[in-house]
Amino acid sequence: MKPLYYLTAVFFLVTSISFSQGTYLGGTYSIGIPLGGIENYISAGSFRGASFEGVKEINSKVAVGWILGWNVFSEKLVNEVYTDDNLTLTGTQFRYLNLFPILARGLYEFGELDGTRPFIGSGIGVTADIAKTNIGLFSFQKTGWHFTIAPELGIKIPLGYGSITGSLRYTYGVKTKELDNVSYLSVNLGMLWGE
Amino acid sequence: MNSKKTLTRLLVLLTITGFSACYPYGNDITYEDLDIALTQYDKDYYSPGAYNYFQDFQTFIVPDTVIHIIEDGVTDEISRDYDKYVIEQVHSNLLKLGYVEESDPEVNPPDIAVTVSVTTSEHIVYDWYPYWAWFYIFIKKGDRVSTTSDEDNYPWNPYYGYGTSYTYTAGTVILEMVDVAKVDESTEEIPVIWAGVINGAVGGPEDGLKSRLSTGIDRCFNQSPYLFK
Repeated sequence: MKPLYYLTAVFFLVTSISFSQGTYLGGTYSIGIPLGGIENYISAGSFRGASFEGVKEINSKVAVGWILGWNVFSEKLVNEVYTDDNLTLTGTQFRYLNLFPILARGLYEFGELDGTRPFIGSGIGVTADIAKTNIGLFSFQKTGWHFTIAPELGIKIPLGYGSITGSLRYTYGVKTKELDNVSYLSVNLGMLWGE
Repeated sequence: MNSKKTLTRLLVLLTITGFSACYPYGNDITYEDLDIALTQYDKDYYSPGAYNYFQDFQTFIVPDTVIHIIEDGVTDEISRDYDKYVIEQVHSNLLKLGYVEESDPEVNPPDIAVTVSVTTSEHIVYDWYPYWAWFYIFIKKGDRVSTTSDEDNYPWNPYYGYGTSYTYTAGTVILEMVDVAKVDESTEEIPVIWAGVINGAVGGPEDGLKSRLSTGIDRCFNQSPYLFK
């Protein structure tokens, strides 16, 4: 749980310096593509994802912010055979992986202040992981916190009071005692409102 | 400013609505999806790549009575409609594996006996969906206003969320293979050298239940290739 305390502190620090001039608040819809770690457990892509984010532009090129995300991966495996020593179990498995990245974020933005702004950056923080397998009438669940880094590239296009934002983010969470590492690519599209 | 607030609320609402079904497949799970077949063998009789004493067995019997496992003092309410069918399925699987049925077990004790037992259990599941309450709290805290009046709750009611409950009966068929020569009548020890368990939710049409029983029993034997002769 320690990483959560650190991240909560970072979150409030970033939040406290935000919401003045050059600040944005918004959210994105997120599509997830499982990569190493996840794809051993669930190979199907996810159309269930979203994130809330806040960004503050420190100067004309650099911005800091935060992201609270949620990506749900799931897969049904029909009549999967599981063997452990002298025990064999056959049944349909329903696997669910809920990932909640909580990240502090730094961005480098290109282009003019009031124009279209491509950006690159990275998030750092933790990802809460709830991995649940239902088989037959039984359910098994593991939970953990992954230290996480999340490099990304994206674009912000001004529109009315806010901006349309799109990004491609690679999220990598390191292995924990209970859980394998997680990594996935997310395609994020949403809106930011601010001044 | 109002449009920003409205848009943010709309985003929150859409997200919560979208994730309220964050466990897909919930509505299209069939009875078959809930069936499992579990088997376990005695490691003194089989070790992959080393030895397989199951191959020494030639003859078998399947007792013609299914044991209903119930608690002491409780009336047996488990249906016997499927007992004969289950025994026939076990019998035919053993023949398919290559074993020979012993026609006169009192004179010639068989090598193995496979017993069949059945048990059921009732389960109640309670679900609670409090997400409307989360939404309410989020909005009100964002506005720095706290009220529980009906007017202010609208349209985020029901404030306390809602709950559902359902009951299901789980049924379990247990197959136990006994090494007859090792039965110790003085100590009443019965060596079970292989076991198969079929577990699932009881329900659905009669034909479907028979098919599920048959599939489960077949799976138990098919996933135990060391039993094949």
